[in-house]
Amino acid sequence: MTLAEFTPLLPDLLLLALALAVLKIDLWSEDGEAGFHLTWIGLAGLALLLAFGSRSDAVFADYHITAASRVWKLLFTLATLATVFLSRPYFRAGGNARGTLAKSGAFFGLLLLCMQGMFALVSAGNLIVFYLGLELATMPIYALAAYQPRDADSAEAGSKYVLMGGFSSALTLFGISFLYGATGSLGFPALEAAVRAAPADPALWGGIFFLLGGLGFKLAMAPLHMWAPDVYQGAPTPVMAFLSVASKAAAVAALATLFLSPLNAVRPDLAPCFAAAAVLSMVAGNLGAMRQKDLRRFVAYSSVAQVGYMLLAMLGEGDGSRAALVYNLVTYGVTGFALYFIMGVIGKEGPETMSGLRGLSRRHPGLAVLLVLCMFSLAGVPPLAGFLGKFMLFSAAAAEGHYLLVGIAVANAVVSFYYYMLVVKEAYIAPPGEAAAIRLRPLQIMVLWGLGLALLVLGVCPAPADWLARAAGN
Amino acid sequence: MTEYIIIGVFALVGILFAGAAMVFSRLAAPRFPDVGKKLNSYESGEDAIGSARIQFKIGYYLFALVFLVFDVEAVFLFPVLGVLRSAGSATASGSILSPLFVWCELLLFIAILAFALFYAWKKKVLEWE
Repeated sequence: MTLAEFTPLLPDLLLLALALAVLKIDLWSEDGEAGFHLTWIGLAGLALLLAFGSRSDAVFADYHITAASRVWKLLFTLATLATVFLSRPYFRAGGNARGTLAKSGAFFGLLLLCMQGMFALVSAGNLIVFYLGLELATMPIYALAAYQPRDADSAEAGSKYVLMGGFSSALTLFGISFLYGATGSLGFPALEAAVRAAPADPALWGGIFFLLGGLGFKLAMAPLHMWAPDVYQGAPTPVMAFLSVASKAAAVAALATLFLSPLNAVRPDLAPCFAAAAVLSMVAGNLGAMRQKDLRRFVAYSSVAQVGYMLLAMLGEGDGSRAALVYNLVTYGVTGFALYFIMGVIGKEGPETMSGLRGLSRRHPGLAVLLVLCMFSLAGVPPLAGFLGKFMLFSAAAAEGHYLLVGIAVANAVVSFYYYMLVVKEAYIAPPGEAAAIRLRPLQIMVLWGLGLALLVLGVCPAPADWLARAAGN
Repeated sequence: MTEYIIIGVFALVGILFAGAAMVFSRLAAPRFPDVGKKLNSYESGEDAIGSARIQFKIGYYLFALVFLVFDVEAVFLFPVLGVLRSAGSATASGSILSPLFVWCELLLFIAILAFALFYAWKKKVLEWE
């Protein structure tokens, strides 16, 4: 084996080096500026490497580099990069009304380590690697959720997430032990063969039950979603953004990694289970979001509903499902981050609540237009990104004949339109309090323009969707 | 199926054994609950002082976290050595990793773990305040 054979592993190794370097720099630099620049430059480089770098697949014992895993990794990298940009004003004095965050070096280090866990998760070829990845992808978030200094809500979010996360990890591990007992192997290829040979083994189903329970918590899928609103509300907004996009994508990737490859043989039997969870999540998320006044809580419920839509794809056939999941997560990430950046802008002067959006159309008309685009995209109105994402999910389920479910999902999307419009109403119609104009920083302008354009392009132009479908499919 | 029966028998015997011991001691042992300090909570033979719900110094937690570095190092070092030994002898592609390469990999692994301790040291976690 030569060094050249390690080229496909380069992104993962670079990420590890980057995480350690950011932590190392944190020991010297006082203000954290160097850490911020190193992090974003490193992540941008990593994204380029993943998009245009080595295309060859490689198997290192239990660590599999495939085209599909590269697509997931690119998604995680971009989501983390957006989180790093989003967190920028929160570390500046006066950047946020809730209080300034401290210790930016450790913050970025934890984000990067978390990403490393996600990388391991999608490259896992073995249940132990899978579990280690899942743990590494969750543990840093326990600390990040409690990052707001001297804030009771943030401490509550952290401790709640520790308890729920620990519980769900234990469930997952318990499920893995059942799978090992049933099939006698931890490696995915052997597991797949064993599951195909004896799909009705009761121990196997015990394992699947606990595994679904554990991953369901991480995914905030109803009825295991109760932690999400409290944690999202208490955590600092950048952490909430990371939770709702990157961490959610990791949980979906975990589900897809397990149930679209080694456990694929039992997936048709699990269809009623996924269908029930999908309907429950959609209903619980949509009903919960209607009455929220706090934007972070609102995002939590709306993301529970999004999980419901995404679970529909677990009913479709493998390749189409994976492509639909990735594409939907991309569109959700773009839309979500556009909303979170708007929250960051209004959070500079007031609380990040619905009423904080009042008068946005006068204070900054461009921002208000972007907010409308976000809400339309989340609701799934064509020609925006969210529509194509939902369309792919629904068609993946419809292709397998789940018409009733798709009908329920469409009805839920219509219901969700109501509360997304409530947000627009606050920005345009509700009487404004004070009407001070908003000034954006250059970084914010750049990112908001990028996300806004992506919202339109991803909805109109099918080329990125095709590229993802081809890349994620095999 | 016989494996499951064995597990069932084990569970049954376990419950019976523990249950019987508890029932027997309940029946046979003399009971004087109000004599002396019998109802006090057990604190290593010392007299219990105050409530159990007190705040501990945060330093204890930091030490516990730093201890994890060594813990993880000890737990992972054995499997890593096992894996690397087999990697040194033969790989799936039939080629052999050079011993130097394996040795460097091991050093890298330990260096990453040691970095955690270094980080904690530089962040002044090791100084008791």
